[in-house]
Amino acid sequence: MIFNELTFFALFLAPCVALFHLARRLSPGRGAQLRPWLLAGFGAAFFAYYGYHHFGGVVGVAAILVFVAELVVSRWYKKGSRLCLLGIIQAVAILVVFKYSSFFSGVLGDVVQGLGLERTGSLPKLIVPLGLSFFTFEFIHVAADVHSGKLERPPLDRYAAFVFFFPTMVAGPIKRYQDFGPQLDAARFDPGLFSRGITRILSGLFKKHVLSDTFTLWSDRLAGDLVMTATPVEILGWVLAYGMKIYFDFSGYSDIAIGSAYLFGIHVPENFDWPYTSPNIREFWRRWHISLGRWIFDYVYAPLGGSRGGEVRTSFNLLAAFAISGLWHGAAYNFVLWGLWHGACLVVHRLFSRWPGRPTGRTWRVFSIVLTFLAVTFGWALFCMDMSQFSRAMSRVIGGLS
Amino acid sequence: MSRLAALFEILGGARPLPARPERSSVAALAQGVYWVLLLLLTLSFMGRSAKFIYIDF
Amino acid sequence: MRHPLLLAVLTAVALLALVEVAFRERVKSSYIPERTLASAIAAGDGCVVTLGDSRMVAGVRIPAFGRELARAGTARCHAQLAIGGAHVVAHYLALRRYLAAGRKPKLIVLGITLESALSRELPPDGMIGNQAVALGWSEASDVTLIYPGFPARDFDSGLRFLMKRPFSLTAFGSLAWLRVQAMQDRLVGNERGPTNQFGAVADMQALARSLTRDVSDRIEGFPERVPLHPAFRALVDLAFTHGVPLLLVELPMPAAFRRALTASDRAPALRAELVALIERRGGRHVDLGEPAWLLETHFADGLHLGPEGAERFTAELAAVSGRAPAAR
Repeated sequence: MIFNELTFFALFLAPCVALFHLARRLSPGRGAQLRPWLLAGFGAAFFAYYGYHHFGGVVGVAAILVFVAELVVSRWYKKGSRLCLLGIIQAVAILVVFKYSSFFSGVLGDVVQGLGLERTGSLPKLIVPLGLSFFTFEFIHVAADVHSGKLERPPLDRYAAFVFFFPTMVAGPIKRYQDFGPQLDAARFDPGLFSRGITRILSGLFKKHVLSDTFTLWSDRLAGDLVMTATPVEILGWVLAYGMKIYFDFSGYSDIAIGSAYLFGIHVPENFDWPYTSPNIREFWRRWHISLGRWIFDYVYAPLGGSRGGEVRTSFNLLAAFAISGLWHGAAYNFVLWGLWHGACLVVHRLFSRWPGRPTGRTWRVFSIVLTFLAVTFGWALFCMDMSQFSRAMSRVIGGLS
Repeated sequence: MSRLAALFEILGGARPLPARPERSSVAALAQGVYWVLLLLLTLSFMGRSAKFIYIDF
Repeated sequence: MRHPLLLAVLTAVALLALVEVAFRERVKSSYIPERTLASAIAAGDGCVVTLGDSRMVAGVRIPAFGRELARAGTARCHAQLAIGGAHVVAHYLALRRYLAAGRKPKLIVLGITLESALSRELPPDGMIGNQAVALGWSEASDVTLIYPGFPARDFDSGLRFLMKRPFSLTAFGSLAWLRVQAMQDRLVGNERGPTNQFGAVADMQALARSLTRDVSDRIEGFPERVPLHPAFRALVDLAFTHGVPLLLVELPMPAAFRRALTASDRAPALRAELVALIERRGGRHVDLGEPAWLLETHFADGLHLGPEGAERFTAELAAVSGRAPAAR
């Protein structure tokens, strides 16, 4: 969807890249001033176009008002200002209302029912604006960093270019203004980078359609009735296939986004760095969805106190940060459990890494890579199945093993 | 292992090819062929699914 | 070479152009609708042309139909233009290509069920397999035929149609990935069950069920919500413009479908509209939807007539073709 469609390349990427470089070439001074508005304009058009056609008609387009509100409020951001906090609250509120209102009302209904009372109805699911989970995180990053003094308030044109940068608008990588802003002036046509951009886009499409979609043939069996008659080995195989599927799907998308940015001469954060070769879970989260991991660390874990408050507090912070990360991935119990699983693994790793007698050496490294991979794979079982599917699969595995 | 990783990163565009001026024409031709190969393989396999997982969040 | 990027791009473009030409030739020689069209054209002038989807492919026996026509003195030949898995847009385009090749048929027989003449969503991504003729055989101006609201409504679909149609790789690329999908199914061990010439029998049965489920809803929407398809009107007009009478035949269908059809209040209005349209253009309508000889066992897979049913339908169709008006 979107990034594998001809319209993305023909209507948005190619003309915007061409105009972006031509603007600088034809008029170095004025062109450079126009470039941020060019990016913002194409990004807004991109959001309106796909918001309308794929994500909810006129309502999908109207969600652009969220960006307008953010651009307006951000004009008053400054260090220590409460308006920065308002910006953060605004972004969180938008995320919660559109993405989580139905889930939380369902949770409330479950609690009420659990107390023996009559269950209340759930709120209906709203149309989720295109890229909601990602652009709100960029809003929060800028508001928080201006508030803390890490960042000067960005000029309107550059902030608009930052939030509307369409290669990364929909699903990341989650950018940092400090890295992106200066590139708007410096970005130039670089044949080597342009060539790598094309390669990156094509290899991203290859990863998605050739690799990920092939693994999907197996992983999709987890959702059906075949689980009831499958052997434990088959179920493990399907979960492993899901791990490959999601890696190639999301890293493939990231390649397309990063490669598209290369065409502009712009570097955006990497998102994956051979995550399945990680020797421990902490390293895994430095290599998997890197931009999200950094964001969670900077804007959830660190503000909660990070590792500054003793072991119990640190463990709580890790569990909370990853529960939030899980919830961010999807408004359902299994995503929260997935996040908590990773949080628990990080707590265990943290304790283990402080053990003076912990093993080292090449053999241990290989073993730890396998162990980390298995832990991550178990997490994928929680991620890709809802609770009833997961319990069916687990009962088959446990029953098959006993 | 790290050489294999580096090779995949070059093939994937994540890492630049080591610059060797005397091979630039051959490398450029090979690059064009490689792009077409990736594109044709993608076109051949793209029947099953259009959706990216994280985009439908 | 000063510019490796330029060389790489030129290489890629040149290679793609070569692949495009080679693929186009391959499509011409091996794509079923292209071969069907070529055979129909090769049959010569003065033929009865049969149009429709796989139900016509299954129901009209070749060469029995041609023999019956010749024996009755109706026509010297039969030009089979029915395309399985394709709907009215493809039928129109097939007829247009056939006539554009200079052929002068004696009669055009279009076999449909009533709701086939109604508009339906056809996104470019759905133009796969035989339905890809909607891309490959179309002109740019057909965008408003397939997407009547273009460009105000259906802008995205219309634009994607316009971008995909000029190149064989994008128009007929589904032929490659249908083969890849079959390989993948074998690799994973996805059992398709028994198959016939149209695909897995289970898929045909499922299709019959979904057609039955949808038919009354679609007909109930006629004419405000679900109007006649512009391609259907264009097909009727095309036959008229070339002075060839059109015989519209309602096809035999299983009992469940027929019940859903007759239960619909608007079915008579739709039938009347179609009959009026055809007769204004010098054509005729025949309802063979429930012939006296029809049994449920005549359907091989819940949708297509089997050998015995096809034999009877062929004879009946040849007889009604003989009674159709002559060409102007």
